[in-house]
Amino acid sequence: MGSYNSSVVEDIQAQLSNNAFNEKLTEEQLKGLEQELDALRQQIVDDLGQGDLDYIKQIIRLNRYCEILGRVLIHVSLNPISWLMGVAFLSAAKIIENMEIGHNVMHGQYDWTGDPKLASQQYEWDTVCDSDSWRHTHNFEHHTFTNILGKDRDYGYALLRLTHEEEWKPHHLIQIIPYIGLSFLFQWGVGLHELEVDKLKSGEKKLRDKIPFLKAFAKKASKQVAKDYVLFPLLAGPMAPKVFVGNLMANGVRNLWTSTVIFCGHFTEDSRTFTEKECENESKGHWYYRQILGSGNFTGKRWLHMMTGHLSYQIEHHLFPDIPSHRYREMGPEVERICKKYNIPYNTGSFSKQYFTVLKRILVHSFPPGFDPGSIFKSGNKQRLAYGSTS
Amino acid sequence: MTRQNMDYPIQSDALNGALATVGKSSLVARLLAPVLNTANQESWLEFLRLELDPLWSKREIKAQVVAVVDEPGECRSLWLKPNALWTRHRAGQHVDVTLEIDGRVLSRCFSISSSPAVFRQTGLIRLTIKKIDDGVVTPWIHSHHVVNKVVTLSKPRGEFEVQDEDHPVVFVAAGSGITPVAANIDALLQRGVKESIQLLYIVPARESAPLLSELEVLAEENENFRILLWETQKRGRPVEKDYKQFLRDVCKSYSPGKVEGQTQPHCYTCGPRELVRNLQGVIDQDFPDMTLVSEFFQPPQLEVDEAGIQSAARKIQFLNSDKDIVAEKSDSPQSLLQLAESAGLRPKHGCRMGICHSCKCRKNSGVVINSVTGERSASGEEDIQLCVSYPVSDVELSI
Repeated sequence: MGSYNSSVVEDIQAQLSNNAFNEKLTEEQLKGLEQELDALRQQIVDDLGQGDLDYIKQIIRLNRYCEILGRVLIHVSLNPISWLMGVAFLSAAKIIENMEIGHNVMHGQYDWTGDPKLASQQYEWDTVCDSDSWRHTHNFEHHTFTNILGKDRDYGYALLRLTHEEEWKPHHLIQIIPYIGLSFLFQWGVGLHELEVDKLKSGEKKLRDKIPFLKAFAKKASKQVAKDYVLFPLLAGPMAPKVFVGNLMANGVRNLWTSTVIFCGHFTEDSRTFTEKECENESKGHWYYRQILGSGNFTGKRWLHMMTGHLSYQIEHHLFPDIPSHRYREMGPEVERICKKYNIPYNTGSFSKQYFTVLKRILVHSFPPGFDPGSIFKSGNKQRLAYGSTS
Repeated sequence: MTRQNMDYPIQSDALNGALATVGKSSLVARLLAPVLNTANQESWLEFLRLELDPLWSKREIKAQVVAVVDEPGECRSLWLKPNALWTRHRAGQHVDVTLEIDGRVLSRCFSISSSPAVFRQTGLIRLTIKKIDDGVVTPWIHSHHVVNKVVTLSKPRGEFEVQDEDHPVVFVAAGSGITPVAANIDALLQRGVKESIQLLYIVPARESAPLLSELEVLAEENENFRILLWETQKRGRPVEKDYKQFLRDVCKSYSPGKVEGQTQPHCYTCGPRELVRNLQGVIDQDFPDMTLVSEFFQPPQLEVDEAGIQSAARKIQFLNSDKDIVAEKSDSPQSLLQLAESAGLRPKHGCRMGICHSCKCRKNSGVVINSVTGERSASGEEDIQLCVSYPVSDVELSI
C-alpha cells in the first residue's frame, strides 16, 4: 500500500523546485522568519516558571479524578445513565492523559522543571503504543520530516492517499473505510506504526529486524489489555461484562477523538506536502516555514484546546514542540502576525470546518487525478486560505 | 589514616533516590504496578493520600518546615518535621532537599545541624543553611517565607559521626562547616560522654559565627567541652604553624606527663578545601597516628572564557561503556553527541538540533552549555540533550 511512483514524484519535484515554494521567501526572508520565531520562543522560555508547573499538575489532578470517578461509576453504576457518565469520565481521563499530559510531556515540554514525574524520556502513557517507539516515530520522524513525502510516515499513515503526488490505485476508491477503521482503532495503528507494514510488504524492510520493536509492543499492549479488559472487569465480579464494555467504549471514544484531532493537524485541504529535494540542506528558517505550511489550527474555547492537548494549535506545536502546550494560546496571535508579515498562509478555522476539509481531502484523493468529485462537496468556503486570519 | 567525604552542593541522586529508595509499597500495589501504568505517577492510593495531606506519603520522605531561625553569618536554620518514612539520622549526616522554586524542581544537599537526640525528643530535624550569593536555592530560602512549605528529603547520608566514645575528640570547623560538627558535639554531650571534646572554630568574627551561642551554652554546661574561637578578621587565616600549635596544645592538655602520640585524639574537620589540606599536611607530618576524618563541600573548578564553550581541553567520560575522549581546545567546538560518536559510540539520537529530545541522557557530573538556550547547567546529576550540549568542564555521562 501507499508506494510512490518514482517517475511521477521526480516530475513533480522538478516542477516544484522551479516554482512556488522557495520563490515565495528569499533566503533573507527565511533568515528574518527564523530570527523572529526564535525570539518569540526565547521570550516564552524566559517566562517559564511556577505557573507552568502548576498548570500541568492541575491537569494531572484533573486526569486522576476523572479516571477514579469514571472507573468507580462504571463499576458501581445502577442504571445506564450513571454507567454512561462513568464511560464519559474515563474517556475524558484517557484523552487528557494521552493528549495534554503524555504527548506533551514526552515532547520534553516539562523537562526544564526537573520533575522526574514529567521527564520526557521516562514517561509511559496510557495507550497500547510503547513510549520509546512513539518518541522515535513521532518526536523524531514526524516532527523533523513533517509532511515530506516518503519520509514523514504519519502522512496518511501509509494507508490513505491524500495527495495526487502519490500514485492512485484502485483500492483507494474505498479508502474511507480504512480511514474509519483507523479512527476507531487509532491507538493500535499508532502502536504498530513502527512496524512499517508497507515496507515489509514491499520487501524494503525485514520482519526479523522488527523483532525488538514487536517485543516492546507486545509487552506494552498486553499490559494495557490486561488492565482494561481483564483486571478491572474481574474486580467487578459478576458485573464484569459491563466494565469490559465500558472500558472498550472509553478506549473507542478516546481513539476517535485523537484521530479526528490529529487528522485536522496535517491533512486539511490546505496543508502542504514537500519533497525530499525541497528540504535538502534546509535552513532553520526553511524548517520553520515548512512546519507552518504543513500544519493547520482550529479555533475553539479553552476547554477544547485543553482536550486536544493544544494540538488545535498544531502550527505553534510544530514550530515549538518542546514549549509547554498551554503557552501556544498566547503564541498563536504572535505567530499569525509574523506569518502575515512574511505573507505565509496561516491555516486556521473552526473545528468542524477544518474537519470537513479533511473528509473532503480523503474523498477527493480516493479518485485518480483528473477526476473531479469536488462538485458534490462545494462548500462555498472560498476565502479559506486567506493570508493571515480567517475567522 | 584519613577518610574523606566529597560532596558537591548540587547533590545527585536526590531526584531519583528520593522517589525510588524510600518506603515499600504494599504487596497489592506492587502486584498491580506493572498493570496500572503507575511508572510515572504515584499509585491511586498515594495520590489520594497526598490530596488529603501533603505529608502523607508512603513513597517519599516529605517534610514540613515548622520554624525558621535566622543565625549569624548569613545562615538560616529550618526546623523540619519529616513524615514517618524518615529513618533516624546519625550525627554529622547530610540530606538532599528537593523543593520547587519558580517551577523548577531543585535538589541541594545540606548538613543536619541538630543531633539525633533532638529528633528523638521533638520529632524535628534542623538544617542550617548558608546563603550563597550566586546560588539559586539558598538565596531563595533566605528571601522567602518558607514556614509550612513541604519539601522532599532523601535518606540521610554521610559518614561523619564520632563513633569511638572512649577517645578524646577534636573538631576543626570553619564557617558553615560548623553544621555537622555542632550535631556531633550535641550528640556526644547528650550521650554523657566524659572524654575531652575540643573545638577550633574558625570564623571571620564572633558576630558572624553561626550556632556559636548554643555551642557556648553547651560549653558552660559541660566541663569536658571547650571552644577555641579563631577570628580571622583579628588574627588572619590560620596557617600550618597554627594548626600544629593547636594540636600540640590539645594533646598536652589531656596528659601532660605522657609522651606525645599515645594520647592522640581523633580529629574531625569540616570546611573549605584549603583548611582540610592544611590540616592533613600537619597531621601527616607531625601526628602520624592521629585519625583525621574530613568533609568538605565545594564545586569543581571551572575555567571558562567569555565565548564560554571550549577554552581548554575537556575530558569526557562515558561511564556505561567505559570509554572516554578528550575534547581538544577548539574554535569550532563539538557537541557531546559528536564527541560520543568520535569515541566510537552510537548514542540514541534524532534530529541533532535540539527538537526531538531523543538523545536526552544522564549527565553524572560536569557543567555543559546548551547551545539552544544558552543555559549553563549545574555541575550535578541531571538529564541533558547531547546534540546541543557543549562541555565547559570535564563531564561524565551515563552512556
